[in-house]
Amino acid sequence: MKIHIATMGNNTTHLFTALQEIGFDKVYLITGKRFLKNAEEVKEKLSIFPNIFIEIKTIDPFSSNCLSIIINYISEVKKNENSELLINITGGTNLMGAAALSAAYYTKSQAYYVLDKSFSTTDGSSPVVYIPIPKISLVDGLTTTQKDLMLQIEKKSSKKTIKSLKELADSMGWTIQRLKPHIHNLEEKGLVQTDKSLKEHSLKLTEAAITMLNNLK
Amino acid sequence: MKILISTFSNSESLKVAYKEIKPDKLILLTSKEFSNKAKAFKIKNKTIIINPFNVIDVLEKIIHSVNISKDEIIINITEGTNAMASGALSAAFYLGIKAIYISNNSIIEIPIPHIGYQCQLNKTSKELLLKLAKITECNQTITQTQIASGTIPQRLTSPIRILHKYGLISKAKEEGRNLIILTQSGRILAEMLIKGI
Repeated sequence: MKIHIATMGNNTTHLFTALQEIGFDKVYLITGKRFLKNAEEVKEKLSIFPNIFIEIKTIDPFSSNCLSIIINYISEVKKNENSELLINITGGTNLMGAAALSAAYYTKSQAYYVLDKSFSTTDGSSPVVYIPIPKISLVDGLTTTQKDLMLQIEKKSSKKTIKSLKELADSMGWTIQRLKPHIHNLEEKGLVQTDKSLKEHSLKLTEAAITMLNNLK
Repeated sequence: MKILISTFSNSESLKVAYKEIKPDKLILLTSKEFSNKAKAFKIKNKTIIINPFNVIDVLEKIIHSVNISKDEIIINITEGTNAMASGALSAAFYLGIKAIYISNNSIIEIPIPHIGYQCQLNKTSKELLLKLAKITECNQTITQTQIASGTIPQRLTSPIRILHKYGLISKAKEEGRNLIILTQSGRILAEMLIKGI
């Protein structure tokens, strides 16, 4: 099954080029509200093909949470489809493309970029260029203890913030001395953020950690 | 040293990023079309010319120009084409470094764990990847027997399996011979290892 997810703005040529080149069974389009009409036109054009599923997701392409909305959306599609995704990062703003590409790295999916025909037809090469994404899970870079610790931090706090290191150490049956080097290591990996301005250091998972855990489940 | 690497086309987001990050050094990635503008930019910088529609070109040029063990690197992906931003973001994922986007004059940090892909390979897999990179070039094939020269073939089974699982090599059979092909991701990771990253 060929499932495409594509970010798109005003230009839709890259979509048709890729779908024609690769083939498709399902297409998920991510676009700004401003270009919803363009996405609906794409949907209408593609609906002439029998048994093709098309879904449109609208986002605010300049809001600060656009990034997490797109990454979470693609992660959810990946979980529900339980199949390899083909992520087209050509259209939309750089932030939309970056979010879609980040999701590809987290979900170990294939991502591609479609070249404008004027750049690709001279030597007869395909206009679809795949991004070299290793099939390495980012979580593999963590030890079992680090993974358990991140899951514990996530479990301990619904708002992803724990008020003190002691609270976390107690919940794991550890001493603070045992906990500290692990927290320091996760902090260096950009997965935990501690607030040292308070008497008791509070901590929370970073967006990177939350995204990693979402794709672990 | 704090180094800001930025895709460059119109300089607006760059001014915000520069003001907020206060780097010691600025590297601009730009197309030929914008190179004069980059060189004339009011802040001293090193300009690297890239192909604005070639993701791999941007990715490789960033990897070649950084030393992550010595410097703190931040990549701004706001300007330029989506291919430029994608190449720059890919470099950030490969190296496990910070990437940002400027929206409404404020910084949005892309969630990237600071775990470079090279950290996730064991010693024997790294050695094999380096050996492959030295004796072959991307898309050129090599037989499993050729790789095994000077070592016990059974010792290759596990690292070959790992590199294949991670998409760093692909395998094929031709006239009864087992062929190994270094993929593009494999080649990039090998280049990182050669550079000592």
